[in-house]
Amino acid sequence: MGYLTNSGTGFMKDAVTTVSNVKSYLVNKTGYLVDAIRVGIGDFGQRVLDDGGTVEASAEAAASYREITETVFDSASLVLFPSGYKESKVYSHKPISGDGDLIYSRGTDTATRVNEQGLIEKESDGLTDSMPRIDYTGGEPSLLLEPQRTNLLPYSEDFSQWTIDTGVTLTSNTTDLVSPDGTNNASKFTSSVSDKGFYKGGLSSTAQSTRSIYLRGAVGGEQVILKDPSGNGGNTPVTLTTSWVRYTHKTDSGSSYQGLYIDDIASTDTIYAWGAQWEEGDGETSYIPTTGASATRAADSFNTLTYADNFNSLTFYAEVEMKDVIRDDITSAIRFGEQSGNNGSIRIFRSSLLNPKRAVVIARDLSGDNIINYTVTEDRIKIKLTYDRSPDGDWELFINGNSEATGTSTDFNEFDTLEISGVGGQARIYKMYIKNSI
Amino acid sequence: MRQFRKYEFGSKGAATTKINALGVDEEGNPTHNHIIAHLGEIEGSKSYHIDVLWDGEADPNWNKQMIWCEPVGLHTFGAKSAQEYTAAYYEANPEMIPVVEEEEIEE
Repeated sequence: MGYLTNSGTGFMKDAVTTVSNVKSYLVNKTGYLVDAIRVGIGDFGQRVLDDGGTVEASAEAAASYREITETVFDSASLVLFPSGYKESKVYSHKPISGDGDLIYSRGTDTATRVNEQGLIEKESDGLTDSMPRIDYTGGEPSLLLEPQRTNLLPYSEDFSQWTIDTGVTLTSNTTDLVSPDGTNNASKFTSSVSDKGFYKGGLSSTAQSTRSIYLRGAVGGEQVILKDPSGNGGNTPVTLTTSWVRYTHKTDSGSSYQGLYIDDIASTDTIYAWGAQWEEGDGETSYIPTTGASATRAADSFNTLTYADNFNSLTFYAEVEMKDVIRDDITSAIRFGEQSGNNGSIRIFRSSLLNPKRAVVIARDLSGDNIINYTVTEDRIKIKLTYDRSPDGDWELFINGNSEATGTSTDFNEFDTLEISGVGGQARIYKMYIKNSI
Repeated sequence: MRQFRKYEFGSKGAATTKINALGVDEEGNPTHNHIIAHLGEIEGSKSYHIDVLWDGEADPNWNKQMIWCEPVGLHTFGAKSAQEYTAAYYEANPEMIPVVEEEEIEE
């Protein structure tokens, strides 16, 4: 038995001595519990399953536990490693009472995610309108938060509804290969002429926008360009491989745009296409399938967690990734602070005011003064803020393990509310904890 | 149960005024849970169009601007809401219910 084999040292030894852990292990030997024991949170998986939830990414949760250490875990008020969910809920590892679970809503069933197998999962696969998304883009699970977006292309997978240039042959639902969603619904394009392609035009937008499409070549090395059918906004040349890759073409605001054109397929080349998207905004978000009409995916939204007592001495930690997807305001993706407003809180969001656009960490005291205003140069960051109101209000901000800023403020004491939402831009939460001490 | 309805305004400004009346905070963010998609001036119409997925029943104060498009028009919020819209469309427009020929039934 795995857990016995591994139970002889350190925390593991303590973890498997409890009856509940052993019992839970015997109840479910499919994998999650081994990791649950390993991380010393043996009741987590059982709690999720008992509530009708789904457990995923247990190995990563175990690794997260080891990273933050047992000491921090045991003393934390909230620990979130995205690894348990069900309709309308994301389970936190602490508190085990469920008081720290996040109530989730999205409201549209047009969302997709990359699942554990690396396949794109849709509503038809069970991703219903209020199902949170643990997304595995890049291979590592994270809680995906996204703003509202609309795929303006009415047929994202049915390219028979697109205009195919003369000399280019379309084969729908090819059995040559599986598409990014794991089925045989990709389209094959073979060209007998040079510099032709296929496009969806006749649409209209003048906004800054991002086009994306999954492409691959038959042999690799095929070259095509992505552009707008109007010719406005330039083009993006891409060289295909024999794997599915989501390629993008961005255009600025101000010109008239009409759709998406995949052009310049060389004579005798064969390429495959699936999952086209044209969305207004800076940067692509997750795929929104369409079947005859443009479709909107609503923003991811969570309830607000409120704590009865202020955290006058605290450690706030979040490992997040924020891509170059922003709104034109400074709404936070993550905010931990007082019950209303942005004063007396730490906020993490993507700022549209910076060039290039960057994530920022801002902590503002109760008077509205920025105590911390830190621009993050990396997309993925580990943020840790420690604050001790007594006696001097010492605070220290760590980014990726390095102390980046320190100071004092006793006007910074209303940490009792946690808000998480996708409206501050696309964000991924890999781990997060709040501890009522430094 | 969310309701999906379509609206037409004389201008973007008129639509924005109506939307803001639903509630915004000091940063201009909505304080409601309705989902609003701006379709803008779609082809063949000089009006400004928006789709709303109401968090519950549609606001009757918006009825003056509501329009019915043959399901589901140019834009949707997904399969579930499209189903609800389609049912509401035929209930409001029974004359638009497709007539099934007897021959088709026999087949």
